[in-house]
Amino acid sequence: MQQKKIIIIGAGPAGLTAAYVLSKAGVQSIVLEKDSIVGGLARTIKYKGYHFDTGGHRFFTKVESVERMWREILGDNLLQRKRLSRIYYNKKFFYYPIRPLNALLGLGIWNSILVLFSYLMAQLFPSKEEKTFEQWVSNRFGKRLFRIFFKTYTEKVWGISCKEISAEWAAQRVKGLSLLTALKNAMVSNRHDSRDKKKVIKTLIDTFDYPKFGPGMMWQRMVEILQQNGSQVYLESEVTGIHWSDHRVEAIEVKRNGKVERLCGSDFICSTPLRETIQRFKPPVPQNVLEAANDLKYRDFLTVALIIKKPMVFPDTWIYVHDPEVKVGRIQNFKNWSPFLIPDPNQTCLGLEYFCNEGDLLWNMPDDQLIELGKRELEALGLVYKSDVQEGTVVRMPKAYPIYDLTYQKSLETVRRFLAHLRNFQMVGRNGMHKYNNQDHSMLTAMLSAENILGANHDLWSINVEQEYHEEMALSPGEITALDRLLPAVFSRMDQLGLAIAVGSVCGIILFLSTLWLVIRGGEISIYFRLLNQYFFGYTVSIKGAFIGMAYGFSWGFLLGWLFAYLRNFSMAYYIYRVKRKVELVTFRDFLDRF
Amino acid sequence: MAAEKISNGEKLLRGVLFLNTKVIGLALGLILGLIIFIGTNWLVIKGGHLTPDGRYVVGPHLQLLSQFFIGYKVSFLGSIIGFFYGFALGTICGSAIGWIYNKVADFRRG
Repeated sequence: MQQKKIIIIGAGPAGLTAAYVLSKAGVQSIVLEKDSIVGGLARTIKYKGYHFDTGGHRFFTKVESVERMWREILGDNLLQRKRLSRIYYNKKFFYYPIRPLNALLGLGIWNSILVLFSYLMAQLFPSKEEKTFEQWVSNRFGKRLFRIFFKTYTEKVWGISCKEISAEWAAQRVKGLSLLTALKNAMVSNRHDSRDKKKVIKTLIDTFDYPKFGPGMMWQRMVEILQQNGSQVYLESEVTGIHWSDHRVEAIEVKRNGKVERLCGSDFICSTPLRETIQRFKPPVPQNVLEAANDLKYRDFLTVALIIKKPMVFPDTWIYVHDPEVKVGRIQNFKNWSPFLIPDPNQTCLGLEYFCNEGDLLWNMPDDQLIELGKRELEALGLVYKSDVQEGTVVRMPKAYPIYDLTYQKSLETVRRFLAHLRNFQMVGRNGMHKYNNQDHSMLTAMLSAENILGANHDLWSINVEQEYHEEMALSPGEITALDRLLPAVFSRMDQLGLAIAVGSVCGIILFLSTLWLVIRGGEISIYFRLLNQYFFGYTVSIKGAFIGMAYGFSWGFLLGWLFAYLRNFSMAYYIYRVKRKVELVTFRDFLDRF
Repeated sequence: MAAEKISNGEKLLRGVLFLNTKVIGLALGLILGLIIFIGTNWLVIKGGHLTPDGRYVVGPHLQLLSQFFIGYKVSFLGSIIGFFYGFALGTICGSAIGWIYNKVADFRRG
């Protein structure tokens, strides 16, 4: 094992986690980071004694191994914080996740009536086409709620109209749950005490853990441990080439201190953006793979951090700004994330987040103009006077979000197929896998990639949001297998004609045999049986009547059997529809939190 | 992975349900047996009435079942006999329904 030489590209949560897991197993590695700071998208910026997070990273997970690692590294430095996040719209605050009563009261009576009316219209007459994000959300919440709570923010984040965002994207964002998972969850929900479950979910939403000095603290501490154990972390080391041949990566080219070095390794873990990684392969990858990689797009963002001369501005941890009049999308109140981030208790530090594309007007705007824009917008929103802003700084985060456009899935599949042939090269993390992994799932992919090097055989691409859902369900493998077996037996469609013929045949035969029995034996009951001809015209207790009765019995049985099967199929379909809708709504609850 | 699972889910919806003939037979047998058992005992507990010719009659209409179920009477013992008759008939009918249904569904599925 010691003969292995592991090279990890990227010192973000994924890269460092992989190195940490390997180090715990006694395997040293070399970690290369392009920037002068570790933490990747979850870094902490330090400015004149102030610490601020780029994007706001809650330490909140349902993955036990990740939770354990956070606690192991941070110990008492992991604070439990209360979450308060609201939507700021039309100079009013609305709780997020949305609370119906708060939303209706905030919107005013007339607007609330219109919202309810629009919701009812959407339920009664949904848009038949569900191709766009706008149609998808409007069909579930009504057009008015969509315009108030989803349109502006989503358009700010992605920079395109909601009419141009595919409905499939929305469906994926609500965890892309399969029908089977939804049904399993519905069955399990019925079994567990729903009050307990709701309480747990509420706690998970209302509180989160956060390192005393921001997420960067975690990654800095991890680097220290790695270095103590013999691993190396090189900053300002940019990978410029990946040499491969015969289904293996042989070495990488690294630019350090103005010189290009060649580093050979036995195994490679890479968390840098997939597009750039593929472009660096030498010799170049096949043309179709390169074209597919070039098709992968990203959205970038920048934070304007402003220091405010006031001890308290608003109680929220962060605010979603839905006001279309301003460009800012989200405002982080770093003091409420952790009071230790702000050195002076009489001051506050706000992070105004602007979503943009690398190279566009906003991205290229000089820092002083961005700070001015931030001040102006804070005043326009009625949150802070310009004169209360002491100073500010700007941080640009390229490739913060992989874009799920109409073609990304096909392109990603092509790249994945190519990467699958490389036996000693694994991609991990959000940008490495072009996947909306949060910090915890990025770490999980890295843990598993390290385990693969140690001999395991995990499929990293199967780590997805569905896993999170399974975690919520807390099912044992035995229960999952049993449900997999049982569900088709319960929810498959009943053959209506089959049941109609079966019930019809049995009813016909019963009537035939019982009539024949009476013809042979006679008896008092014949009088009553004859009364059947009130309904079955022509029926008598005779041999001919037995045949007529059989025909009638078959017809009625056929009708009843068909009707039973139809109603059973209808009620099952309705149940499945309700389960899917419920799951969509539950998972949509924290939709905005995922950007 | 997710896409694969979704298609599995769709397969589930497109699949046809097959019945377990033994279970259907047993269920229908128990239901019919219990209906006769409870129905008979209900009439026994409720009591009968005197006919104009002075006979005490309990459940004269249900008594007609004895035309088919030989040995059946509207009495506690009769209710047990009726249960077995009902159970047998229900089991045969249920199994027959399940068997015919499965044959037709299998044939139609191709």
